Amino acid sequence: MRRGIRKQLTGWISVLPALAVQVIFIYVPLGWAIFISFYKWNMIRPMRWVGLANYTRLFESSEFWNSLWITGVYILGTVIPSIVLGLLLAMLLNVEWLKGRGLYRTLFYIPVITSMAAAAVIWSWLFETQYGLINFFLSWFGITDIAWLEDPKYALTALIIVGVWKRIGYNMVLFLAGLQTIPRAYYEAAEIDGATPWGKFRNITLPLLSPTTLFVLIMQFIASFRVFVSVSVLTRGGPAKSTQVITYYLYENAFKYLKFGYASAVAVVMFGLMILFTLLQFRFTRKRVHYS
Amino acid sequence: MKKALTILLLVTLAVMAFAAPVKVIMWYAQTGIYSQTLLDIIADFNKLHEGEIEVEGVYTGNYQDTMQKLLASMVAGDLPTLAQIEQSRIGQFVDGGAFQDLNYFINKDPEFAKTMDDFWPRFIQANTYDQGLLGFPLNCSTPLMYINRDVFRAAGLDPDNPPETWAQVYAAAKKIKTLGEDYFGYRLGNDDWLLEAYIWQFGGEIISDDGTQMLIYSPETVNAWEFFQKGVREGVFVYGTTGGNAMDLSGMIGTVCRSTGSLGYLKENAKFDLGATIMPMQVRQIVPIGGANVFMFSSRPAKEKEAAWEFLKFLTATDNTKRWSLATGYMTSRISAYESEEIQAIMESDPRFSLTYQQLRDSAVRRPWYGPYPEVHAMITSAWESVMSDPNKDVDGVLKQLHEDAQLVLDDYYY
Amino acid sequence: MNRKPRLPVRIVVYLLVLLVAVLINLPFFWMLVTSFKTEDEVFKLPPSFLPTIFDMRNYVGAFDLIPLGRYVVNTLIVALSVTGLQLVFNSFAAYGLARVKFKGANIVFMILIGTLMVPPEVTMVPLYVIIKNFGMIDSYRALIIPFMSSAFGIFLLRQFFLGIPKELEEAAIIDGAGHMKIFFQIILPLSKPALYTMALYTFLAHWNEYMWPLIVINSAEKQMIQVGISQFVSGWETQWTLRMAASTVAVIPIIVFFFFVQKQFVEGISISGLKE
Repeated sequence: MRRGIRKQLTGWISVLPALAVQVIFIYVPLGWAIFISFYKWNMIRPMRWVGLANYTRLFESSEFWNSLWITGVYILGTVIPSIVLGLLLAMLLNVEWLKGRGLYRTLFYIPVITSMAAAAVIWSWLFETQYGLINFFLSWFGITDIAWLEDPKYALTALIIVGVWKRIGYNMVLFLAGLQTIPRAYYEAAEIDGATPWGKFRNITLPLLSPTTLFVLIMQFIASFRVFVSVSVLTRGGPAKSTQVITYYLYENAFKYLKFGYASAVAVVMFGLMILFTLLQFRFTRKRVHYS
Repeated sequence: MKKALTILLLVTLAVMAFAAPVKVIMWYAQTGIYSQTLLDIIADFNKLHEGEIEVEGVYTGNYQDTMQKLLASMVAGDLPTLAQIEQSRIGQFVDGGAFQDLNYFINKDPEFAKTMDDFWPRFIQANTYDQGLLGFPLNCSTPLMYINRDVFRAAGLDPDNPPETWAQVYAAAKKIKTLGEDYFGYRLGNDDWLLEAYIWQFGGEIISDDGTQMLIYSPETVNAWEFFQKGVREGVFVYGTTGGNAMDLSGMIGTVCRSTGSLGYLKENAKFDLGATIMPMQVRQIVPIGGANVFMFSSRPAKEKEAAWEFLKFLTATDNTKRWSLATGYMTSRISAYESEEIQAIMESDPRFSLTYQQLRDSAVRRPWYGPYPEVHAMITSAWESVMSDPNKDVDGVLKQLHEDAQLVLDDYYY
Repeated sequence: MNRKPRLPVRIVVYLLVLLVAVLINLPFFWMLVTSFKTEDEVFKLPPSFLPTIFDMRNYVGAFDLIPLGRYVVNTLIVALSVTGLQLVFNSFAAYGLARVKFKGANIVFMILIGTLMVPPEVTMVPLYVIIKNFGMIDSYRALIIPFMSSAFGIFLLRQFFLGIPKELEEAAIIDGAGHMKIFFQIILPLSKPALYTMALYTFLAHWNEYMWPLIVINSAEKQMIQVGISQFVSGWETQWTLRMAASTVAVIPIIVFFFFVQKQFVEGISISGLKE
């Protein structure tokens, strides 16, 4: 019994400092935002109670649905490539006979190190229709004059490319750290049993890496959901709202149109959706994630 | 003895409190040479008022970042005394009574009141609202039409007789197109103030004067947008936003409208004979005034505002507005500064610089500023982008829809 | 994968790695090249891959205009403080969540993860109000205290702690070790890769932070590097050369710093005890 209480105490003491910080600096502001979502407020004039009006307006707004749709496409376009490529690179750099791994590792990190604001500026120049490097390379293949950032057909693709580029290295580092914890003895044993490389990957790497994979998946999903800086530098939600992801929609309503109540309602819905999808990911992966 | 000491201490404290300079905070949103010039002017002011007033300039990011910072500090009751705010973002501050009416100080200051006539009248008009005179001009400009005179000559056009109407721009563009597939008569983008200018120049309106009614869906606006869309469709105009600079310097663009502030940049980097003229008209000569003004927050303590007023007078005094203009290329706020030797010398050496003042005298007006305008404006931009990136899109339908959607935004704001 | 495959396979792997390295760094390379070009060379077709003359003008201006050294020091102070604090707070919490079977651990974990779903755009204003009431506006505390722990770090460490075999711990318990001893002598040494990764990402995030310092810091001499650098491009024109030079200036200090840390990082990985 006393052991039990002690265990409870140890647990709570260890999490309490971190928890307190998160509650004070994130949940209290969130609670405030939920409160504001029932008001009409521009941060300048007094608040006015509007009940659920912000929410009903939100669900009737085609712009809101449009921004959810665009966010969904962006998530689908970024999550899988950046995780698969990140894992591939990590496996590649984990090959022991490969010389100069430190150098490659550093080279692959550079997009991670660069701030998204700076990177997005570079990309806007790369995507330039006439003078950009990308169209210059494409012209070798007879593809000319794609207006990456000016044509609503291509702008979201451009953002997805940037998003994947920025996160490959990020995920690679996480996978590398995960790969380090897989005991080498397992591979040696498998080799003695005559396992193929694919067999070792399927039966050892994947299952033992699964806690990391779950982590990468969830973090990548959240990062894609929250994409903001690249949008605000490269396209500002345009052209013709074709890249207006939900966070950008929220931001414009809050700090450009000064509809803070409405923006808070958007934030609450977004919060709810992210919780929902994250729980689903935990649920679906529960049986597949292997903890030793 | 003890009592005497206490009194002495109290007196010292009182004197110190009295003597402590009044602190004035000014938030500004510009970088490089602009911020340097402003900080120099602030330093001079502080030297002049040592011990009385101390102005501190704080860089607050670009215009949009500054808005964010202002709103956060507004909620926390933590505002600066002065802020440089971009014209199209002020509406809800104005409606909310956040800005101090500067007439209050002008009326108490007959000496200064006499010099009010020396401001460019259109700058004062542009800062006058129902609540009074709310801002002083700082960095203001108007759009000009820049011309590649080499291209004009090659196409058999007379660069000394630049187009004066949009119809003439179109006619010139047709000739320029004969030079080759990569040549264009006019480069248009999606700059907010130019969209306003196009609509106005073709006789259209955007919002009613009281800010409550959308007026954008009219034959005039449809005509204007169809005109530009037709130019793009036929390939005589080109639509380019992110690559604007590159195109303008490529030497294959006949004409383009950009800020007067771009003159220095274009002069330095254009490898062709660069001309400039006032922005074309169609049914009326009219251009918007772009840029930012300085505003004072009414909620600050009286003493601080008095001190800030002293600084505003200093900032807009002839010598300083001249200095600002010489360093940055923005317009002077005062006529006397414009008439000064140094500025006149520039006008004589390069008459292109005087065009903006000509527009300021004759045709410059305030941009729409109403509370809900930022949202309306985003909708206008989006609609414009959709018809320019797809030159076969039905302009009439897009504008009709835009008008209805934007009206809902206005109704909601004033509800 | 420790046996060397045949030569053709190795060549293919090397080429692949090289190709990826080139592709991934193309934007960075292009930034560097553009920053040394003159404005009109930028608009040449076809693009020149090396500037014809190295034009340093874009950089000279930067060092005159802004006290870069001071910004670097300021940002190091803040980013390192945050990183240090997070290492302590996050690893404690992660240990509690992963290795101590206490009631409510799952709920606490969910609450912590939930913070990742809160859009910062909407909490910025109330956070500012809180910071103001704590009297922390215009001080480094405003940049450090709200970020002493992070759900990202806790989640990352928890995942790693969960992967450490139970047997190691059980053996220690039999020897009479308490939680403190297990935490410091078993869990932490085994988790170096994760700890380094977390520290690196925390540091990077705070090095690259722009909006929050801009909002809460007023004094120019206390400002952080991203805000400082943003002042160096004159706003009126999109001068690509200048913007690229500014971006380069923002990245170089962090790469230098990274090279310094990277060695530790790699070592941290290679001495990880679980490999045996």
